[in-house]
Amino acid sequence: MKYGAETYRVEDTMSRILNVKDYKLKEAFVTTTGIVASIETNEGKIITLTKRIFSIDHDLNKMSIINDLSRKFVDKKITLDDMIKKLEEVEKIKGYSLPVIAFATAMTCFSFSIIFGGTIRDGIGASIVGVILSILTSYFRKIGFTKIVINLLGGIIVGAISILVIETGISQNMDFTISGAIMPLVPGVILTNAVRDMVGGNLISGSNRVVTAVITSVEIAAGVAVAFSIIYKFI
Amino acid sequence: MLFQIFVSIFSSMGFCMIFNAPKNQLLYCGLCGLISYSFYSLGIYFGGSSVFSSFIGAIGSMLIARILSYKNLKPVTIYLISGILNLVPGLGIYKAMFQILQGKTTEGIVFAIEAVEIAGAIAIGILVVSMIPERIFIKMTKSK
Repeated sequence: MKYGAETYRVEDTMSRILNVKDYKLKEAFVTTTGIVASIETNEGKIITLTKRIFSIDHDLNKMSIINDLSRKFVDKKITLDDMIKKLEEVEKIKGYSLPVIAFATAMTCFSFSIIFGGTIRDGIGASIVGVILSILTSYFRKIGFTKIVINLLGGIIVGAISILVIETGISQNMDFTISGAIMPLVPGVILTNAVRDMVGGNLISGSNRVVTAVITSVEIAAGVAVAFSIIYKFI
Repeated sequence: MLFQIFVSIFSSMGFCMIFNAPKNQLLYCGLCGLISYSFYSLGIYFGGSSVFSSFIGAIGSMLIARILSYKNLKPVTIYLISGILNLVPGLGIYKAMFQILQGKTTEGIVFAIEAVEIAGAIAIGILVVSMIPERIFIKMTKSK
């Protein structure tokens, strides 16, 4: 359940699963950094399980499969062993290949820079930046850099290549090019989910997500600023 | 503006591919993006502020997301994320931090407050639609 589902959804699913068996006390407590579930058996023994979540990757496909599985389990269509086996299979499902992701990033960057008011030439520049960005970030992820470093380097890449694209005359407006190209990195969904969590009463998860969003954007902005200041010093 | 609305299909489809959405749902994701952005543009067109238009856009995207999720029996989140992607204030918060880092604190704070306002508006828009009882959506999807 670490593939980017909302807090209330995970909590809801957990309590449904716990309700399958008939225990005296069942509680599920979910934050963005950890899950706690505890039950009290009929003999008065209390069992608690804590699971720490280290990183959140958005993966809608896996999330939807897991959601399906847990619904089926609650409706008693599959047994617990089946479910565990299937969950292990879900772990192994691979996402889209790198060229497809690069193409998708290019498409996103192009459309966003047009949505923000850029011309088609700005869009093309942004999509070039996006392709390079997606290839390099996936390479960094393979090497095993932490998220902080990836965001920082991503910001530097976006800044540097945007300047390159402008200087070679592919795009006209620096602003729209960078706005389009930065979209894959930027934490908009996290911020919105943060407010949704807070409105729903999950204050801990909400403030966690706000801090995540702020830190991520600081990293990206720092990266872009570093690229700008270095390159303009040498020109 | 029509061109921008058209392009919003591709932006949300591309983002969903980055987020690993199921392959057979990609077109629906594009549809969600289209509808949410056209609601947003309607708000802007009739003179609403960007915060109010985001609220309208969030209502549109949550409506279509719930309809599609009852139709295809998938979690709402897939369609919801693809819908709100075009509205979400990611760029705003980035711009805020960039201005602050450059020493322009005042402009930065203006951007940051706007970003938080938009996020709040989207969250409330989603909340409003999620309060509509399930029965209405089940009826709507069965009649199709």
